[in-house]
Amino acid sequence: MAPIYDLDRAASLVPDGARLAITGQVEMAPVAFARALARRGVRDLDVVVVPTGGGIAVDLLIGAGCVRSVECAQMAMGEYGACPNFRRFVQDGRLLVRDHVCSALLGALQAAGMGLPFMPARGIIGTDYLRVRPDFRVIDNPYGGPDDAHIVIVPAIRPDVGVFHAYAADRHGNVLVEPQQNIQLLAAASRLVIATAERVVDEDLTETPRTLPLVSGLHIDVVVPAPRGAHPTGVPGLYPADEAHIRHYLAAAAADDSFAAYLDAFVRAPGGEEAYARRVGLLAGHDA
Amino acid sequence: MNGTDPGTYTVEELMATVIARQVRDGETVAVGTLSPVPAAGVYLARALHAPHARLLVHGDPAYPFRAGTKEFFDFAQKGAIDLFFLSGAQIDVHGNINLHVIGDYARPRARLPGGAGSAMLYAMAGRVLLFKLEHDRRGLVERVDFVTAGAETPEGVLRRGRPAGLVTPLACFTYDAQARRLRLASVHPGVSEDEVRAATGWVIAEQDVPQTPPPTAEELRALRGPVRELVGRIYPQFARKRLRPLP
Repeated sequence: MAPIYDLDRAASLVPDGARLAITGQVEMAPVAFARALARRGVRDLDVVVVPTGGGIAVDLLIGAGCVRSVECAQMAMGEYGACPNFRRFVQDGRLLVRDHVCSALLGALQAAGMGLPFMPARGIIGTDYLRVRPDFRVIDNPYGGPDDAHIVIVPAIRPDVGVFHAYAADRHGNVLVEPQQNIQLLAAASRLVIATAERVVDEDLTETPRTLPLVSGLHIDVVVPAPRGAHPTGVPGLYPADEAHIRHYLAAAAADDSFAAYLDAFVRAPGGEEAYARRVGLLAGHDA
Repeated sequence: MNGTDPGTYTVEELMATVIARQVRDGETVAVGTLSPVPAAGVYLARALHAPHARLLVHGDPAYPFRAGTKEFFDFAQKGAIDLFFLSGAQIDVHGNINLHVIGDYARPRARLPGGAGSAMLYAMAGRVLLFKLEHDRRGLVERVDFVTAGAETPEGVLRRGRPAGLVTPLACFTYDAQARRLRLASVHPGVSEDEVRAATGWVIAEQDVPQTPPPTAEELRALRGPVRELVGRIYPQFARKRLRPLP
């Protein structure tokens, strides 16, 4: 059985200085969980952005001052463009980036999930990644011929906490997930895994016909009911991304002052997620 | 410069046509995120001369992989992609791309989103066609500020492919593997070599190159019919604005 916690209690499981893996870019991102972390005022997170992620949830944590470093292959907001807080904090020297490569980062998570210390990765040699990532090593391939004599290895990534947003969870922690988000890798690699979910169901999901990928509850430690927990990102089939809110976010995140006002209005205002739901309903021009 | 529409087709329709002509029938072709022009190009190829091309277009409802983006990256890393498309905030004369920073890495003037999977894909796709939606001296440079993905790797490192060239709104370049340089191959209709020279951050030695063959009537019909519909499922705004409707 996976215990069912509310958002704030689950957020309290993430200590200051934790290495936190998170996925979801402008689709199915655990943004409600990011807001709960920001409300709690967690500090010095080393965030691992699991591809293809790195959108609003991570950018919000950066802007709220919760993040010490970001390890990522990309920090973007899909068709909305750049992540403003990420960009600004790096340019101001306030945030350390540990640039990675999608394929190698996913391999590094897989290595952790397999109990291995590192993973070889193709490409990369001849690029500037090797200049900025001294922990990426070039080794002699013990099994290669002259054309494949050298290869990069990257260290396993074993996050302290992994978090993602699911369509549904059951009481065993089994979850139905978005097919592109590499949830199984994230869950297998992380020491403590928190799943926020649109709904928590009574039936056993392993015994239910399904079209969505299922990740076993053996990997999941805590389930958090979070209806509309991806907002302002969307959940395919349930609700679209809230474009108006995302544009408001992007404008606010262009500067410290305006982002502080955003946090006051949407994150730190009394009433938590319930107040947030009311507030964004108003902003989008319909009743909450 | 962004290139001007000559009236009978848009510059994106021309670029998509150039891209389509690179696709060979039966090969496996992938298109990454935020790449509407390559997406239009590969759909156009499949509609015309490459009906057996296997397409992996990010965001397409018919995208076949369901086991995370890792399934795609594993597939690419083992060398199963024949043709891929990359762009960059900067592309240099050597075919290197930069998706990381403008200026110094430690204290950049501009921090960009990052390289995603390009540092592997550039090496492991069979061919990589570079594209750039603006052609100016800021973006086409002698040397990139950061090599996110490179056109060459040192000896003894497995590499499948090389650049297949570069297409911009003004011109086409091919990659000279001996000299390790991009070379001007053709200028688009209505564009002069001097305009291309003035807008390019490296010295172009090539002279009197031919004109890029414009889209044929058949290519435009396909682009504005079935291709526009397919692209519109992923990039509705682009399809509506940059691919013209059939009359």
